[in-house]
Amino acid sequence: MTAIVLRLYIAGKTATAERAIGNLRRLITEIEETGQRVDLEIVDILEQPQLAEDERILATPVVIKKLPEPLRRIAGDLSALDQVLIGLDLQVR
Amino acid sequence: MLRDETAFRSLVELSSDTILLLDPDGTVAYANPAAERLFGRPLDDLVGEPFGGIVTAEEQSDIYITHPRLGHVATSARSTTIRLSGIAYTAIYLRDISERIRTEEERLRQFSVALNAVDQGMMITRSDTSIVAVNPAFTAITGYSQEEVMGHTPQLLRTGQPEDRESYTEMRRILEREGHWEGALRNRRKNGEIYEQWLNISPVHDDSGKLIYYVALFSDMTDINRLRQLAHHDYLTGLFNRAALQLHLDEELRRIARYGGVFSLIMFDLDHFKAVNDSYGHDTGDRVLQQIAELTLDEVRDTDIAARWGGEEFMILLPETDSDDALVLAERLRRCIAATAFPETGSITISLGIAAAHRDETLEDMLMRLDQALYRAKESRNRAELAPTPGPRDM
Repeated sequence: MTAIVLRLYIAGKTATAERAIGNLRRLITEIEETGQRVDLEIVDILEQPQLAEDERILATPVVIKKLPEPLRRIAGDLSALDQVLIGLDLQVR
Repeated sequence: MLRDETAFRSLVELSSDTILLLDPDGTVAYANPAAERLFGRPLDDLVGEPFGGIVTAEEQSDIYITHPRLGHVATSARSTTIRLSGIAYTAIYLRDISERIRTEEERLRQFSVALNAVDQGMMITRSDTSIVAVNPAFTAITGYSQEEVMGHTPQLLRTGQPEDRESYTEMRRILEREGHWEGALRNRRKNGEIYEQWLNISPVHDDSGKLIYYVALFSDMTDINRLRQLAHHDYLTGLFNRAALQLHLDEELRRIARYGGVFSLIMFDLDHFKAVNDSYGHDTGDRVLQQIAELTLDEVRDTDIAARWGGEEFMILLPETDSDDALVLAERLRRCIAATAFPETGSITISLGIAAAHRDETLEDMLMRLDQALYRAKESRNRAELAPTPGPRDM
Protein backbone atom coordinates (compact mmCIF):
# COMPACT_ATOMS: atom_id res chain seq x y z
CA MET A 1 0.00 0.00 0.00
CA THR A 2 1.31 3.45 -0.85
CA ALA A 3 2.01 5.72 2.06
CA ILE A 4 0.00 8.76 3.02
CA VAL A 5 2.29 11.77 2.65
CA LEU A 6 1.66 14.71 5.00
CA ARG A 7 3.64 17.91 5.24
CA LEU A 8 3.18 20.26 8.18
CA TYR A 9 4.31 23.85 7.75
CA ILE A 10 5.06 25.89 10.84
CA ALA A 11 6.62 29.31 11.37
CA GLY A 12 9.00 28.80 14.27
CA LYS A 13 8.46 26.61 17.31
CA THR A 14 5.55 28.63 18.64
CA ALA A 15 3.13 27.17 21.16
CA THR A 16 0.50 26.83 18.44
CA ALA A 17 3.00 24.98 16.27
CA GLU A 18 3.89 22.62 19.12
CA ARG A 19 0.19 21.91 19.66
CA ALA A 20 -0.35 21.25 15.96
CA ILE A 21 2.63 18.87 15.92
CA GLY A 22 1.32 17.02 18.96
CA ASN A 23 -2.19 16.74 17.53
CA LEU A 24 -0.92 15.56 14.16
CA ARG A 25 1.30 12.91 15.75
CA ARG A 26 -1.68 11.62 17.74
CA LEU A 27 -3.68 11.46 14.56
CA ILE A 28 -0.92 9.60 12.72
CA THR A 29 -0.76 7.02 15.51
CA GLU A 30 -4.48 6.43 15.04
CA ILE A 31 -4.12 6.11 11.28
CA GLU A 32 -1.15 3.77 11.55
CA GLU A 33 -3.07 1.49 13.89
CA THR A 34 -5.27 0.66 10.91
CA GLY A 35 -2.23 -0.61 9.01
CA GLN A 36 -1.74 2.46 6.81
CA ARG A 37 1.68 4.03 6.57
CA VAL A 38 2.14 7.78 7.04
CA ASP A 39 5.16 9.86 6.03
CA LEU A 40 5.24 13.14 7.91
CA GLU A 41 7.60 15.96 7.11
CA ILE A 42 7.64 19.09 9.29
CA VAL A 43 8.86 22.21 7.52
CA ASP A 44 9.77 25.34 9.48
CA ILE A 45 9.29 28.11 6.95
CA LEU A 46 11.46 30.47 9.00
CA GLU A 47 14.31 28.18 8.05
CA GLN A 48 13.14 27.48 4.51
CA PRO A 49 11.21 30.54 3.30
CA GLN A 50 11.49 29.44 -0.32
CA LEU A 51 9.39 26.35 0.40
CA ALA A 52 6.62 28.54 1.82
CA GLU A 53 6.56 30.51 -1.39
CA ASP A 54 6.59 27.39 -3.56
CA GLU A 55 3.70 25.91 -1.65
CA ARG A 56 1.86 29.27 -1.45
CA ILE A 57 1.55 29.11 2.32
CA LEU A 58 -0.83 31.87 3.43
CA ALA A 59 -1.18 30.78 7.05
CA THR A 60 0.55 28.50 9.53
CA PRO A 61 0.38 26.00 11.07
CA VAL A 62 -1.02 24.22 8.04
CA VAL A 63 -0.92 20.56 7.08
CA ILE A 64 -0.98 19.51 3.45
CA LYS A 65 -1.86 16.02 2.31
CA LYS A 66 0.34 15.47 -0.76
CA LEU A 67 -0.66 11.86 -1.33
CA PRO A 68 -2.94 10.18 -2.09
CA GLU A 69 -4.63 12.65 -4.41
CA PRO A 70 -6.55 14.90 -4.13
CA LEU A 71 -4.39 17.49 -2.41
CA ARG A 72 -5.91 18.79 0.82
CA ARG A 73 -4.86 21.45 3.27
CA ILE A 74 -6.00 22.25 6.82
CA ALA A 75 -4.83 25.21 8.90
CA GLY A 76 -5.02 25.71 12.65
CA ASP A 77 -3.87 23.85 15.73
CA LEU A 78 -5.61 20.68 14.44
CA SER A 79 -7.12 20.01 17.86
CA ALA A 80 -10.38 18.58 16.49
CA LEU A 81 -8.94 15.31 15.21
CA ASP A 82 -12.15 14.00 13.64
CA GLN A 83 -12.53 17.16 11.59
CA VAL A 84 -8.90 16.98 10.51
CA LEU A 85 -9.53 13.47 9.21
CA ILE A 86 -12.58 14.62 7.27
CA GLY A 87 -10.79 17.69 6.00
CA LEU A 88 -7.82 15.66 4.79
CA ASP A 89 -10.14 13.01 3.37
CA LEU A 90 -8.55 10.23 5.43
CA GLN A 91 -10.09 7.26 7.14
CA VAL A 92 -9.16 5.38 10.27
CA ARG A 93 -11.59 2.55 9.59
CA MET B 1 -33.96 42.85 9.25
CA LEU B 2 -31.30 43.55 6.72
CA ARG B 3 -32.00 41.39 3.74
CA ASP B 4 -30.20 43.35 1.14
CA GLU B 5 -26.93 41.69 0.07
CA THR B 6 -25.23 45.01 -0.65
CA ALA B 7 -25.91 46.11 2.92
CA PHE B 8 -24.16 42.99 4.24
CA ARG B 9 -21.36 43.47 1.78
CA SER B 10 -20.69 47.01 2.98
CA LEU B 11 -20.61 45.78 6.60
CA VAL B 12 -18.01 43.20 5.69
CA GLU B 13 -16.02 45.70 3.71
CA LEU B 14 -15.99 48.20 6.57
CA SER B 15 -14.65 45.66 9.03
CA SER B 16 -11.14 46.32 10.25
CA ASP B 17 -10.82 42.57 10.91
CA THR B 18 -9.97 40.42 7.95
CA ILE B 19 -12.85 38.34 6.61
CA LEU B 20 -12.32 35.54 4.10
CA LEU B 21 -14.77 33.26 2.39
CA LEU B 22 -13.31 29.91 1.47
CA ASP B 23 -14.58 27.45 -1.12
CA PRO B 24 -15.29 23.94 0.18
CA ASP B 25 -11.74 22.98 -0.89
CA GLY B 26 -10.17 25.80 1.17
CA THR B 27 -9.46 28.22 -1.71
CA VAL B 28 -10.02 31.92 -1.05
CA ALA B 29 -13.26 32.90 -2.84
CA TYR B 30 -13.59 36.35 -1.31
CA ALA B 31 -11.41 38.61 0.83
CA ASN B 32 -12.49 41.93 2.34
CA PRO B 33 -10.31 45.08 1.99
CA ALA B 34 -8.74 44.58 5.45
CA ALA B 35 -7.14 41.39 4.10
CA GLU B 36 -4.91 43.44 1.84
CA ARG B 37 -3.03 44.91 4.77
CA LEU B 38 -2.89 41.69 6.80
CA PHE B 39 -1.58 39.54 3.95
CA GLY B 40 0.51 42.34 2.41
CA ARG B 41 -0.74 41.64 -1.10
CA PRO B 42 -3.50 42.95 -3.38
CA LEU B 43 -6.95 41.38 -3.04
CA ASP B 44 -6.83 40.09 -6.60
CA ASP B 45 -3.74 38.06 -5.72
CA LEU B 46 -5.46 36.53 -2.71
CA VAL B 47 -8.56 35.23 -4.44
CA GLY B 48 -7.95 31.77 -5.82
CA GLU B 49 -5.06 31.09 -3.39
CA PRO B 50 -5.18 28.01 -1.17
CA PHE B 51 -5.74 28.84 2.51
CA GLY B 52 -6.95 25.53 3.90
CA GLY B 53 -9.95 25.03 6.14
CA ILE B 54 -9.34 25.98 9.76
CA VAL B 55 -9.70 23.14 12.19
CA THR B 56 -9.58 23.65 15.92
CA ALA B 57 -11.59 22.50 18.88
CA GLU B 58 -11.22 25.95 20.41
CA GLU B 59 -13.60 28.79 19.80
CA GLN B 60 -10.68 30.77 18.46
CA SER B 61 -7.11 29.82 17.75
CA ASP B 62 -3.85 31.47 16.87
CA ILE B 63 -2.97 31.46 13.19
CA TYR B 64 0.18 33.04 11.78
CA ILE B 65 -0.29 34.86 8.48
CA THR B 66 2.63 34.82 6.07
CA HIS B 67 3.38 38.40 5.17
CA PRO B 68 5.95 39.03 2.43
CA ARG B 69 7.61 41.88 4.34
CA LEU B 70 6.56 41.62 7.99
CA GLY B 71 7.26 37.90 8.25
CA HIS B 72 4.59 36.22 10.32
CA VAL B 73 1.67 38.13 11.75
CA ALA B 74 -0.14 36.62 14.71
CA THR B 75 -3.90 36.57 14.42
CA SER B 76 -6.73 35.23 16.44
CA ALA B 77 -8.98 33.23 14.09
CA ARG B 78 -12.65 32.27 14.26
CA SER B 79 -14.51 30.40 11.60
CA THR B 80 -18.06 29.37 10.76
CA THR B 81 -19.84 27.71 7.89
CA ILE B 82 -22.26 29.77 5.82
CA ARG B 83 -24.36 28.69 2.88
CA LEU B 84 -24.55 30.90 -0.18
CA SER B 85 -26.48 29.76 -3.26
CA GLY B 86 -26.42 26.18 -1.96
CA ILE B 87 -22.63 26.05 -1.47
CA ALA B 88 -21.11 25.61 2.00
CA TYR B 89 -18.46 28.28 2.38
CA THR B 90 -16.22 28.72 5.37
CA ALA B 91 -16.17 32.27 6.68
CA ILE B 92 -12.97 33.13 8.51
CA TYR B 93 -12.46 36.15 10.76
CA LEU B 94 -8.86 37.06 11.42
CA ARG B 95 -7.97 39.66 14.03
CA ASP B 96 -4.43 40.97 14.02
CA ILE B 97 -3.20 40.51 17.59
CA SER B 98 0.48 41.13 16.93
CA GLU B 99 0.32 44.72 18.17
CA ARG B 100 -1.42 43.70 21.39
CA ILE B 101 1.04 40.88 21.96
CA ARG B 102 3.98 43.18 21.24
CA THR B 103 2.83 45.87 23.69
CA GLU B 104 2.01 43.40 26.40
CA GLU B 105 5.19 41.44 25.95
CA GLU B 106 7.33 44.53 25.74
CA ARG B 107 5.96 45.50 29.14
CA LEU B 108 6.75 42.06 30.50
CA ARG B 109 10.26 42.20 29.10
CA GLN B 110 10.88 45.54 30.77
CA PHE B 111 9.54 44.06 33.98
CA SER B 112 11.85 41.07 33.72
CA VAL B 113 14.91 43.18 32.97
CA ALA B 114 14.01 45.18 36.06
CA LEU B 115 14.65 41.93 37.89
CA ASN B 116 18.34 42.20 37.00
CA ALA B 117 19.45 42.02 40.57
CA VAL B 118 17.53 38.84 41.28
CA ASP B 119 19.83 35.84 41.08
CA GLN B 120 16.92 33.46 40.58
CA GLY B 121 16.11 32.66 36.98
CA MET B 122 12.72 33.94 35.89
CA MET B 123 10.56 33.01 32.94
CA ILE B 124 7.10 34.29 32.06
CA THR B 125 4.97 32.25 29.70
CA ARG B 126 1.52 32.70 28.26
CA SER B 127 -1.20 30.29 29.35
CA ASP B 128 -0.25 28.08 26.38
CA THR B 129 3.30 27.99 27.88
CA SER B 130 4.98 29.97 25.09
CA ILE B 131 7.76 32.08 26.58
CA VAL B 132 7.25 35.86 26.51
CA ALA B 133 9.95 37.12 28.88
CA VAL B 134 13.02 35.98 30.80
CA ASN B 135 15.46 37.80 33.09
CA PRO B 136 19.29 37.93 32.91
CA ALA B 137 19.66 35.18 35.54
CA PHE B 138 17.66 32.91 33.23
CA THR B 139 20.30 33.48 30.56
CA ALA B 140 23.11 32.95 33.06
CA ILE B 141 21.70 29.58 34.16
CA THR B 142 20.36 28.16 30.89
CA GLY B 143 22.75 29.76 28.40
CA TYR B 144 19.85 30.88 26.22
CA SER B 145 19.34 34.57 25.45
CA GLN B 146 15.91 36.17 25.49
CA GLU B 147 15.80 36.25 21.66
CA GLU B 148 16.55 32.55 21.45
CA VAL B 149 13.66 31.45 23.67
CA MET B 150 10.96 33.95 22.71
CA GLY B 151 7.84 32.19 21.45
CA HIS B 152 9.29 28.77 22.25
CA THR B 153 7.80 26.62 24.97
CA PRO B 154 9.87 25.34 27.92
CA GLN B 155 10.07 22.15 25.85
CA LEU B 156 13.28 23.71 24.53
CA LEU B 157 14.89 23.32 27.97
CA ARG B 158 13.95 19.69 28.50
CA THR B 159 16.63 17.04 28.78
CA GLY B 160 14.96 14.84 26.16
CA GLN B 161 15.76 11.83 28.31
CA PRO B 162 13.08 9.19 28.82
CA GLU B 163 13.57 9.04 32.60
CA ASP B 164 12.68 12.74 32.91
CA ARG B 165 9.54 12.57 30.82
CA GLU B 166 7.48 11.29 33.72
CA SER B 167 8.45 14.17 36.01
CA TYR B 168 7.51 16.70 33.33
CA THR B 169 4.12 15.01 32.90
CA GLU B 170 3.61 14.89 36.65
CA MET B 171 4.50 18.58 36.95
CA ARG B 172 2.00 19.53 34.24
CA ARG B 173 -0.70 17.43 35.87
CA ILE B 174 -0.26 19.06 39.27
CA LEU B 175 0.02 22.49 37.65
CA GLU B 176 -3.29 21.98 35.87
CA ARG B 177 -5.01 20.56 38.93
CA GLU B 178 -3.70 22.87 41.64
CA GLY B 179 -2.66 25.91 39.66
CA HIS B 180 0.89 26.05 41.01
CA TRP B 181 3.88 23.76 41.36
CA GLU B 182 7.14 23.67 43.26
CA GLY B 183 9.84 21.08 43.17
CA ALA B 184 13.09 19.85 41.67
CA LEU B 185 13.33 19.25 37.96
CA ARG B 186 16.12 18.34 35.55
CA ASN B 187 16.69 20.52 32.50
CA ARG B 188 19.36 20.94 29.86
CA ARG B 189 21.50 24.01 29.30
CA LYS B 190 22.23 25.32 25.81
CA ASN B 191 25.70 23.73 26.01
CA GLY B 192 24.05 20.34 26.52
CA GLU B 193 24.85 20.02 30.21
CA ILE B 194 22.00 18.58 32.28
CA TYR B 195 21.37 20.27 35.60
CA GLU B 196 18.88 20.12 38.41
CA GLN B 197 16.85 23.16 39.31
CA TRP B 198 14.47 24.10 42.08
CA LEU B 199 11.44 25.47 40.30
CA ASN B 200 8.39 27.38 41.45
CA ILE B 201 5.56 28.05 39.00
CA SER B 202 2.66 30.38 39.82
CA PRO B 203 -0.24 31.49 37.65
CA VAL B 204 -1.23 35.10 36.93
CA HIS B 205 -4.92 35.77 36.32
CA ASP B 206 -6.57 38.79 34.78
CA ASP B 207 -9.41 40.72 36.42
CA SER B 208 -12.00 38.25 35.18
CA GLY B 209 -10.07 35.34 36.71
CA LYS B 210 -8.83 34.02 33.36
CA LEU B 211 -5.36 32.50 33.40
CA ILE B 212 -3.07 34.69 31.30
CA TYR B 213 0.50 33.98 32.39
CA TYR B 214 2.66 31.59 34.30
CA VAL B 215 5.61 32.97 36.20
CA ALA B 216 8.39 30.46 36.79
CA LEU B 217 11.22 31.15 39.25
CA PHE B 218 14.11 28.75 39.50
CA SER B 219 17.51 28.27 41.11
CA ASP B 220 20.34 26.14 39.86
CA MET B 221 20.60 23.26 42.32
CA THR B 222 24.20 22.74 41.25
CA ASP B 223 24.99 25.87 43.27
CA ILE B 224 22.68 24.90 46.12
CA ASN B 225 24.18 21.44 46.32
CA ARG B 226 27.68 22.92 46.28
CA LEU B 227 26.76 25.26 49.13
CA ARG B 228 25.17 22.43 51.06
CA GLN B 229 28.30 20.35 50.48
CA LEU B 230 30.42 23.24 51.79
CA ALA B 231 28.16 23.81 54.78
CA HIS B 232 27.95 20.18 55.88
CA HIS B 233 31.33 18.72 55.06
CA ASP B 234 34.83 19.04 56.34
CA TYR B 235 36.94 20.67 53.63
CA LEU B 236 40.01 18.50 54.30
CA THR B 237 38.63 14.97 54.64
CA GLY B 238 35.25 15.28 52.91
CA LEU B 239 33.61 13.70 55.97
CA PHE B 240 30.68 15.43 57.63
CA ASN B 241 31.75 18.36 59.77
CA ARG B 242 30.93 18.88 63.42
CA ALA B 243 27.86 21.03 62.71
CA ALA B 244 26.37 18.45 60.36
CA LEU B 245 26.98 15.63 62.84
CA GLN B 246 25.35 17.70 65.54
CA LEU B 247 22.19 17.87 63.41
CA HIS B 248 22.18 14.09 62.96
CA LEU B 249 22.79 13.63 66.70
CA ASP B 250 19.83 15.84 67.59
CA GLU B 251 17.69 13.81 65.23
CA GLU B 252 18.81 10.50 66.75
CA LEU B 253 18.20 11.79 70.28
CA ARG B 254 14.68 12.86 69.33
CA ARG B 255 14.08 9.50 67.72
CA ILE B 256 15.05 7.40 70.73
CA ALA B 257 13.26 9.78 73.13
CA ARG B 258 10.10 9.20 71.15
CA TYR B 259 10.31 5.63 69.92
CA GLY B 260 12.92 4.12 72.21
CA GLY B 261 15.82 2.14 70.77
CA VAL B 262 19.48 2.94 70.87
CA PHE B 263 22.37 4.46 68.99
CA SER B 264 26.08 4.54 69.67
CA LEU B 265 28.95 6.92 69.19
CA ILE B 266 32.58 6.16 68.56
CA MET B 267 35.03 8.96 69.19
CA PHE B 268 38.64 8.45 68.21
CA ASP B 269 41.83 10.38 67.75
CA LEU B 270 45.26 9.71 66.34
CA ASP B 271 48.02 8.61 68.69
CA HIS B 272 51.12 10.84 68.68
CA PHE B 273 49.69 13.02 65.93
CA LYS B 274 51.56 16.06 67.19
CA ALA B 275 54.81 14.19 66.56
CA VAL B 276 53.72 13.46 62.97
CA ASN B 277 53.10 17.17 62.36
CA ASP B 278 56.33 18.17 64.06
CA SER B 279 58.59 15.75 62.21
CA TYR B 280 56.94 15.57 58.76
CA GLY B 281 55.14 18.92 58.53
CA HIS B 282 51.48 19.86 58.38
CA ASP B 283 50.99 18.84 54.73
CA THR B 284 51.92 15.29 55.60
CA GLY B 285 49.72 15.53 58.68
CA ASP B 286 46.81 16.60 56.47
CA ARG B 287 47.39 13.69 54.12
CA VAL B 288 47.39 11.26 57.05
CA LEU B 289 44.05 12.69 58.20
CA GLN B 290 42.68 12.21 54.67
CA GLN B 291 43.84 8.58 54.60
CA ILE B 292 42.36 7.93 58.03
CA ALA B 293 39.06 9.36 56.76
CA GLU B 294 39.15 7.06 53.73
CA LEU B 295 39.89 3.97 55.84
CA THR B 296 37.07 4.98 58.21
CA LEU B 297 34.60 5.25 55.34
CA ASP B 298 35.68 1.80 54.13
CA GLU B 299 34.99 0.26 57.53
CA VAL B 300 31.69 1.88 58.53
CA ARG B 301 28.32 0.75 57.25
CA ASP B 302 26.16 2.78 54.84
CA THR B 303 23.88 3.93 57.64
CA ASP B 304 26.73 5.13 59.87
CA ILE B 305 27.77 8.77 59.80
CA ALA B 306 31.45 9.59 60.02
CA ALA B 307 32.55 13.13 60.85
CA ARG B 308 35.65 15.09 61.63
CA TRP B 309 34.95 16.40 65.10
CA GLY B 310 37.95 18.73 65.18
CA GLY B 311 41.77 18.66 64.80
CA GLU B 312 42.71 14.98 64.81
CA GLU B 313 39.45 13.91 66.44
CA PHE B 314 36.82 11.90 64.60
CA MET B 315 33.33 10.78 65.52
CA ILE B 316 31.13 8.01 64.13
CA LEU B 317 27.39 7.94 64.73
CA LEU B 318 25.94 4.43 64.54
CA PRO B 319 22.14 4.48 64.45
CA GLU B 320 20.29 1.50 65.94
CA THR B 321 23.50 0.00 67.21
CA ASP B 322 24.17 -1.03 70.82
CA SER B 323 27.55 -0.72 72.55
CA ASP B 324 28.56 -4.35 71.89
CA ASP B 325 28.14 -3.99 68.13
CA ALA B 326 29.77 -0.57 68.22
CA LEU B 327 32.76 -2.08 70.02
CA VAL B 328 33.09 -4.73 67.29
CA LEU B 329 33.19 -2.02 64.62
CA ALA B 330 35.60 0.10 66.69
CA GLU B 331 37.97 -2.85 67.12
CA ARG B 332 37.84 -3.59 63.40
CA LEU B 333 38.69 0.03 62.57
CA ARG B 334 41.50 0.09 65.14
CA ARG B 335 43.07 -3.07 63.70
CA CYS B 336 42.63 -1.89 60.12
CA ILE B 337 44.43 1.41 60.76
CA ALA B 338 47.16 -0.21 62.84
CA ALA B 339 47.79 -2.66 59.98
CA THR B 340 48.02 0.05 57.33
CA ALA B 341 51.43 1.24 56.20
CA PHE B 342 51.16 5.00 55.68
CA PRO B 343 53.53 5.87 52.83
CA GLU B 344 55.05 8.95 54.45
CA THR B 345 55.01 8.11 58.14
CA GLY B 346 54.89 4.36 58.49
CA SER B 347 52.38 3.01 60.97
CA ILE B 348 49.79 5.12 62.77
CA THR B 349 47.45 4.03 65.55
CA ILE B 350 44.24 5.41 66.96
CA SER B 351 42.50 5.28 70.33
CA LEU B 352 38.76 4.97 70.55
CA GLY B 353 36.00 5.59 73.08
CA ILE B 354 32.57 4.01 72.62
CA ALA B 355 29.26 4.91 74.24
CA ALA B 356 25.68 3.85 73.64
CA ALA B 357 22.99 6.46 74.18
CA HIS B 358 20.62 6.09 77.06
CA ARG B 359 17.13 7.42 77.14
CA ASP B 360 16.75 10.42 79.48
CA GLU B 361 20.47 11.14 79.27
CA THR B 362 21.46 14.52 77.84
CA LEU B 363 23.85 14.76 74.94
CA GLU B 364 26.35 16.57 77.18
CA ASP B 365 26.34 13.68 79.65
CA MET B 366 26.76 11.17 76.87
CA LEU B 367 29.67 13.09 75.36
CA MET B 368 31.27 13.29 78.78
CA ARG B 369 31.10 9.50 79.20
CA LEU B 370 32.51 9.15 75.69
CA ASP B 371 35.35 11.49 76.57
CA GLN B 372 36.15 9.49 79.69
CA ALA B 373 36.25 6.27 77.65
CA LEU B 374 38.61 7.83 75.12
CA TYR B 375 40.77 9.19 77.93
CA ARG B 376 41.11 5.69 79.38
CA ALA B 377 41.92 4.22 75.95
CA LYS B 378 44.52 6.94 75.53
CA GLU B 379 46.34 5.75 78.64
CA SER B 380 47.59 2.68 76.78
CA ARG B 381 46.94 3.88 73.19
CA ASN B 382 45.95 1.77 70.12
CA ARG B 383 42.96 0.67 72.14
CA ALA B 384 39.15 0.82 72.19
CA GLU B 385 37.35 1.42 75.50
CA LEU B 386 33.66 1.17 76.32
CA ALA B 387 32.21 4.00 78.38
CA PRO B 388 30.56 2.98 81.67
CA THR B 389 26.77 2.96 81.60
CA PRO B 390 25.29 6.00 83.32
CA GLY B 391 24.80 5.71 87.06
CA PRO B 392 21.33 5.22 88.67
CA ARG B 393 21.07 9.00 89.07
CA ASP B 394 20.77 9.32 85.29
CA MET B 395 18.45 6.40 84.67
